[in-house]
Amino acid sequence: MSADSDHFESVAQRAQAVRLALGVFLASETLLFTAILALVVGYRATWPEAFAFGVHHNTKVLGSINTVVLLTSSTSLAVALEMLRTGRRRVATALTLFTAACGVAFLAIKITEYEHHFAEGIYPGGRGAFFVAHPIAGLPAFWTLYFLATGFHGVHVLAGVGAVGYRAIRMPDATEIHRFEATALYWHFVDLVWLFLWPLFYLA
Amino acid sequence: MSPIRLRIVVGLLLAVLATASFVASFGHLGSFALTVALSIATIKASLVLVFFMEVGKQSASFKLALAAGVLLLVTMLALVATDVSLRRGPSWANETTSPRRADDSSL
Repeated sequence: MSADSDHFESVAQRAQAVRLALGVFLASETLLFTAILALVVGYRATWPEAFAFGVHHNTKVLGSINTVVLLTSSTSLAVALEMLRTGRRRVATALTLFTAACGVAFLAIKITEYEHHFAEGIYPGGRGAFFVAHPIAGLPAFWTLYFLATGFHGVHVLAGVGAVGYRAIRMPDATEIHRFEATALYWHFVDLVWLFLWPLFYLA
Repeated sequence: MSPIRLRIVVGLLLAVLATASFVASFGHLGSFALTVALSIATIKASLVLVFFMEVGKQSASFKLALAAGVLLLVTMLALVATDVSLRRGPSWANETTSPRRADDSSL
């Protein structure tokens, strides 16, 4: 009896179950980030000047480099999936490893950003010398939400690096491509979230 | 166009749009800056959803689950926007520091 026949009648049925489970998981993840986005919308409408000041003071170049890194990683994983579908496993593995490397680079840049903030006296909760020098109403809210949103996102990137890295090591065969698809869907979702965090905290 | 080439083209398009967002952030767009930035972000997100996540090819159950998430997102943002727009009277927004808790001894 194969592993697939333990719980499912066929591999196709199993693939369907995996996709549905991932859909529900991504919906719940959407709700998590929605809660943070709602806070950003509410506080930003209340303190527009403080948020504009916060955005202006943020590490725009590093945040933008991270955007390019994530977009590159998503593209490489999408191409890797197509390579796997057409039987080019070696190229697919290389591209998947490259995606994981991009994830590590993203986290390294994010840590560099945090170090820069801490050096300036910017800590979550409005603590630090920066807030003494700039006693602007709403500024602590901006930076607290920034750390909250990017921190949560960073944890998701870290999990994604683990999942993508594992997938590169254990590349599925032709009948198990839905496993790779599930990993790719999660990684693209993490990319999607960043596409909205970037403009909200770095650009405008 | 082959699927692989299509994904590479989409990737390049995403890079172009990201560059446009970055350049636009240096323009003096005033209150339109956020609208422009989020509009470009929405276009990029749509490209990722359609070409990378292949939402169009997914099963109806997957689409339903994803739609539920989006519906929750829209509902929550609409409720917050409504709450903020309908607030009246003196607001804690005018305080020089963040809102203090009711049990704050300095009150």
